[in-house]
Amino acid sequence: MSNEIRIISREDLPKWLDQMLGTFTVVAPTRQDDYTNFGVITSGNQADFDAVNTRMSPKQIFFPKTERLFGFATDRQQVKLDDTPQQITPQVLFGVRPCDARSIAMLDKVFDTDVYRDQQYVSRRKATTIVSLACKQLAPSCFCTRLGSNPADMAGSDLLIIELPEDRFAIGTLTPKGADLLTAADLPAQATAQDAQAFDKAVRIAQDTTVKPIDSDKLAAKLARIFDSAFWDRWHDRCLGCGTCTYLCPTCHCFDIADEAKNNTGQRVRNWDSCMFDLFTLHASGHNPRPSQRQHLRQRVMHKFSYTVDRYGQAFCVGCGRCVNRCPVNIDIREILDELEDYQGG
Amino acid sequence: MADPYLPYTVTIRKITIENAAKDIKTFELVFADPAQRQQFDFMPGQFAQLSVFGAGESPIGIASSPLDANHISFTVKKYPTGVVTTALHNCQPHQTIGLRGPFGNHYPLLDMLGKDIVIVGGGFAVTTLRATIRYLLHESKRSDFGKITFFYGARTPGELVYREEISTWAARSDIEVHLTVDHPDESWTQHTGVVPAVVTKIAPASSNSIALVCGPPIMVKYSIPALKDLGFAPERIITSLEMRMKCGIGKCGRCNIGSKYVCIDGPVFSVAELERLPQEF
Repeated sequence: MSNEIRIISREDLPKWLDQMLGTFTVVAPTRQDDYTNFGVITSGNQADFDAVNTRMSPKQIFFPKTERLFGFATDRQQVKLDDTPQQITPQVLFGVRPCDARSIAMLDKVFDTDVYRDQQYVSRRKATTIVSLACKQLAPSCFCTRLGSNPADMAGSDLLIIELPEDRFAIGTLTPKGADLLTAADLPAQATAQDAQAFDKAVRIAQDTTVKPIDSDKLAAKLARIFDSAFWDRWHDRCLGCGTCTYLCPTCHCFDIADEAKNNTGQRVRNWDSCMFDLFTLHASGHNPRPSQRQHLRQRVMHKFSYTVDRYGQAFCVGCGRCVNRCPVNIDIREILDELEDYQGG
Repeated sequence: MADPYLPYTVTIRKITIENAAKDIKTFELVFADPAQRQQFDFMPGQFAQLSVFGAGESPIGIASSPLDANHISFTVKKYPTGVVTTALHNCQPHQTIGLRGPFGNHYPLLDMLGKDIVIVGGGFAVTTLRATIRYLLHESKRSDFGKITFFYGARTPGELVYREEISTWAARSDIEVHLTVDHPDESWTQHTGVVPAVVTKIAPASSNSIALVCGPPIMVKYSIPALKDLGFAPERIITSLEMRMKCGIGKCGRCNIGSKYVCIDGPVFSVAELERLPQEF
């Protein structure tokens, strides 16, 4: 568990952020009309410490919706490539919910492999300290506990903040990077033994759940078995193929690569893509191995709950509930999981 | 570690029109920096991403042998809806394009050592098989392998690619070549009919033998049972798949069949492996 606990009052939280602003770019949940989203703050007061879940996940901090891979300039015969890396400055990602922090640890498995390292992603990860905020309450759409996680999960975080009674917060140190951020700050005070106990107790309470988590290995094997079954016959009936679920999902990471050019100069860019779209798998020859919405939806479920278990050893869903909340036709992944667990067909 | 998205720049040295319909061309490429040819260390069966800057990238099988020291070549069919293949076909010699790779696995050359090799190709998908045959026939390699039997077919004689090179193979005594077309013209003297039927008729021995199959899906579909009937075990029938791809390095998420990515776990699979995967390709 955590090596060191510090304590800060609610009143001092924004001041701590102000201190960080001297050294870091700070990204935190900020209010925008009736929802919150991650944004760069210029004052600690702009951060929203009570937002249950931001509308967009923080994945775009590391894996932007669109990003330049390199620039090019061509004339008739010559090509000049410009691969100057983008300037990446030290930043703090503050107030991330543990489900989202966990999703970042999952994305690391995709983008930071021994064979092919995604340099821009890895540089941003290295330059970022993640400070998570344990959840006091779950939203109606939250289901992290079904994925074997909990509201004080430490995966992916450098520091984890847990709210204690009387508007005080305990900060647990999880990594050397987190420790560095704390060392640099003079605001969070040393915790008493009692506070440290309170932190550990809160973690235990968060872990003590009555929800039975899915057995991801068993589910992965079952999904592989029922690939061709009638289970997939109806979920897609109302799917519009809009891709909202994949864009909001903190672990969805599929992307497109395209060239943007005008007058012989341009750039190669990488954009978020979605398995919900026909074009996603369409060959130039016209052949499409996954032409229908039935296959698109099955691919999404299989990718999250079977293929990633095979490849990375865990289901790529953190139970944040964004896809449940924002699907325009109320396709609910929790219902699919429930029915999958009960499904007896082959 | 190098940036896996940054291509080499390569110059088109030669363009060959390969078929009567003129929509298949072979591009012979040389590296702007010759040292990069050494870096580009590949084996037959692997592919690369070709790019025309401004149009985009497309995954194409490598058609030359790794033992072709100075250049590397790709045979590309132009599709009316294919942005990159069309842009490539509009390229002229001396133009500079992008090359990323090599990617994927290759034909199992180690397993093939000492064995008879049956090679079954169709249409322009014969490209990586051509790379393999060039490799097998190389004077430094030929004695490592047994008998080589090559079946190759297309709809019409004009759609058979690498015609000149294949006729030099047919003239050799250390490779048996069987060409077939669905629709012969009056000058056609070789087999007529679909490739699997010719394979069945010639019936190459399956003992101590391994078969490589690459062609249009329909040809592959019927060649597999034909080879099985001749006694080839599914582990000894090897094929190569294609998929829409973007990254080529197992991240962009689209070329999967089940939990396997064609770009890094393939494109070469044994039929035994494919039978364990969902039939979604």
